Amino acid sequence: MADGQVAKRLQSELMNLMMEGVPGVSAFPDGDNYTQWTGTIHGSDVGPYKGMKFQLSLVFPKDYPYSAPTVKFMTGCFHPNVDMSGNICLDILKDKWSATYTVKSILLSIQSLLDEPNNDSPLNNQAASLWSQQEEYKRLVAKKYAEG
Amino acid sequence: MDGATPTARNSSTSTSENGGNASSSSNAATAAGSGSSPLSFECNICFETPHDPVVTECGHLYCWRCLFKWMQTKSAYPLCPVCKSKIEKSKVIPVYGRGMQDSKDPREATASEERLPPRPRGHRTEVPVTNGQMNFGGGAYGIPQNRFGNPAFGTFSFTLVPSLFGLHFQYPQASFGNSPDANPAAQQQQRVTSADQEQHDLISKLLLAFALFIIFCLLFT
Repeated sequence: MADGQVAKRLQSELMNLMMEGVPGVSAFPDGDNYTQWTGTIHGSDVGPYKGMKFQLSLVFPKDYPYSAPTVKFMTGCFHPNVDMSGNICLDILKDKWSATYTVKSILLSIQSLLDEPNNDSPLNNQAASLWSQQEEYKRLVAKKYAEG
Repeated sequence: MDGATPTARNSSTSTSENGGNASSSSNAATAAGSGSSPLSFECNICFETPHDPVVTECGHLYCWRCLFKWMQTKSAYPLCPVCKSKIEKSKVIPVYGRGMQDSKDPREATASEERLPPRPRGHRTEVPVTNGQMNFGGGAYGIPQNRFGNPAFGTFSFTLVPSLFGLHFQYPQASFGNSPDANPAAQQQQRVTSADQEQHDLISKLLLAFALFIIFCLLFT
């Protein structure tokens, strides 16, 4: 019963995502199983991640949308709020989660997090300290992205 | 989407309809705001047509079961999922469409779903009584109401019993009119009774005769 409701809600999200065609983000279930999705985020045209494409995994809990999905970068991402294993530090995925958030809103939030990091609670201290030197930061981002 | 269930197909048709609406009037789509679907009358949690719809004080629409579940998961300090306004179970407003006003017994929902309390009921506010009506009620209707209240009933029973024996008590309203509200009524009663004293005399005599007749009948049959 509960699983059915999770699948129903995720189906509706997928439908909306495909109908709307949000620029810069996309997501699709990994298989018949609706509880695991792969998302893609394109770096915005104005920030240090311009032209880059990042893959993320979204794993939905059984009580979704009452709990947030677990979202991780699968593509390596040099960013103050992303650690080496791809874990993301983002309030809306933790205590600020709301049942009305969707895959789309999560991906858009992460997309804007790329250009606007929260340097007060970094997971990657090197990236946080380098943020103020944008040229150097961009160079390192590009290097890490090329490495994968 | 190959394994789409009938419900999924339903939602797909409704979405395409919504898409049509959105294209015909872009204002409607923007009015729906940040919601992923342009159709606004959907539960903000399950994204479907609300089941037992309720609205929060901040005006956001949910299924009662969806909102209740959300409030339980955030029981310490529940906030509206849409606008983060504080929400309380007692302040949730049920929405009754035409012909669906509480048609379903809420206890059925309790039985089938896990410990879901009945949806809060709507709050009715009566139209306030105007000043003129208030005075009318206090003056003309207030006394009859008091007459059938405690002091008057006492008076009545006391007048009836002694009158059977042709006796005349001073009506003991004073002892019953303890509360300040009852006192004026008791005084009013006093005036009425003293004015009708003669009629009471007559009635008590007739009652006495009737009572004696009944006693005779009982004794000699």
